[in-house]
Amino acid sequence: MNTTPHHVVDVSHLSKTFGDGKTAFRALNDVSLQIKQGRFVSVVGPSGCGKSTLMQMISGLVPTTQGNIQIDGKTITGPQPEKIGVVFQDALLLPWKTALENIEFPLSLGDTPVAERQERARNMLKLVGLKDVGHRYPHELSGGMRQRVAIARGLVRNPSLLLMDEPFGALDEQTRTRMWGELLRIHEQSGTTILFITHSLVESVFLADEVLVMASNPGRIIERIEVDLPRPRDLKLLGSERLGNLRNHIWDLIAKPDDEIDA
Amino acid sequence: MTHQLSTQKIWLARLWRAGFVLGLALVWETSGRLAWIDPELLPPLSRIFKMLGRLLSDHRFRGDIVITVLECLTAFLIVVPLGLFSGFSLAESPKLYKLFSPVLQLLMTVPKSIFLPVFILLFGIDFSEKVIFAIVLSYFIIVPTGIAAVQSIPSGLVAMARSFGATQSQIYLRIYLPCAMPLILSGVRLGLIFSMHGIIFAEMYASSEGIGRNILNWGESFDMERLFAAVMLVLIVTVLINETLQAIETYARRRTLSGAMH
Ligand SMILES: Nc1ncnc2c1ncn2[C@@H]1O[C@H](COP(=O)(O)OP(=O)(O)OP(=O)(O)O)[C@@H](O)[C@H]1O
Ligand SMILES: [Mg+2]
Repeated sequence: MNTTPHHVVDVSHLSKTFGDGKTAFRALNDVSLQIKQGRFVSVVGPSGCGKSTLMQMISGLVPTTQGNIQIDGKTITGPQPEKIGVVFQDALLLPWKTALENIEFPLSLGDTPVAERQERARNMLKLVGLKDVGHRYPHELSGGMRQRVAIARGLVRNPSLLLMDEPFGALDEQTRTRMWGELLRIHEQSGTTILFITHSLVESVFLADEVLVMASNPGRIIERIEVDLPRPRDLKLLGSERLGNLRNHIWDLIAKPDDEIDA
Repeated sequence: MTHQLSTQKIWLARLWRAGFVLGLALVWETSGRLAWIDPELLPPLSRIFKMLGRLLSDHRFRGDIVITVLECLTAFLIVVPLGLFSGFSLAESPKLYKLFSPVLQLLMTVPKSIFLPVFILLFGIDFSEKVIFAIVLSYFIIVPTGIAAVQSIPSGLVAMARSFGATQSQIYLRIYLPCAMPLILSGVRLGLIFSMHGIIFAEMYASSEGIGRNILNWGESFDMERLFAAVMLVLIVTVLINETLQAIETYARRRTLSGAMH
């Protein structure tokens, strides 16, 4: 393994077509992106532009049509549980397992000894600030808590890459804002590379080092934006002019194609 | 809060059912005693239970019970795995589903009892004929339950497990099985009830032994006490089995679905 920052994610000329013949639908067209180790990259774009499809292909759950995806320098052909942790839009916890057991779940699929499993799950629970509710079942947790359990589960195998698909989409604004703080802290402490999909422009800018802006028909990346806001990020930044300008810039990019459709 | 409410409701429902059964028993008993209805036609409940006691200590009737139970168990043990497995396969394979679901739907709507004479011609009137009839009757009820069981599995949980490296057998064991458990148990319960249904029906139609045969004989000879005693026996056994399995099912459903409501 090389120790200098390298590309954890290297996607080149990726395309995805659903169906074939007359019903064929080009969901993604020639998408390329690279993410360096430890970076926080967010993806924004209109609904249906292929964000989830992109993430599912990087996670190895959905096969590619064209192009190549490398994780840690190796082309992938299926799920990479040792390297990639996934946090889905719904928490997708197992309702018959406690919070702690849910976090253990990825480890329980391999041959990690039970004691080590529990130890690591407990550490993760602490990391997401839930160390007192490990014994509770998902239906006894709030939406924000469930999402944090899902994040802990995504991190428990120490993945070099964490994929998150609109993880805070269903949360109220207060909880979401608190989760931003948590996620930034987790990112700092774990050093994990994060690819973060969102609908929220503010969220995409506030959390990330880099924002990928997508457009639809066909789904593609139309711009990469470096976010030069200082780290650690403070919630006060949310009202800052710099963040506002970046947000407005992204809005202009996204709104344009819609205007063309209206015309 | 909601849990308390629902348990309260469940207890109320139980109380109401117990009260209903008790009331019915009371009306039955008095109607016989006061001769509202000819006691020869509808003997009082107490006499029926006394007769049931006598029947249960009777060697010949006990032999009939053993035969019926064996037939039911055989049909049950064959049809439940067979029906559930067919349902699982159909639900898992779109090709099989397309091929067989129209046939299945057609066969499901056909009343199976009209085939009993054909079965008798094919298999005679012994053990195997009754078991096969019960299997055919139950099969078409269990298969849809098996299909529903697979379809009740949230695809999100499967994708989640796969992304964390679950093998196909781990997905079956850790996701499919617990998610489908409530409906699998439904299948088991329906399998048992309809196996009994099929066996007793076949025994009544043509047989030389079994509870069903006795029920028919006693009915034809107007032996109301014995008739009602045997009916009561079947009734009590079915209700007990049904209630027990339903309780297990409810427990499993709570366990698997408690989180899905949010
Ligand atoms: N399995 C599939 N079969 C056919 N088309 C699909 C499939 N999955 C996604 N699509 C199509 O691909 C396009 C991209 O879908 P995707 O879910 O990736 O969008 P998205 O950017 O995540 O949208 P949202 O922001 O609403 O979640 C959509 O037009 C969708 O209809
Ligand atoms: Mg999506």
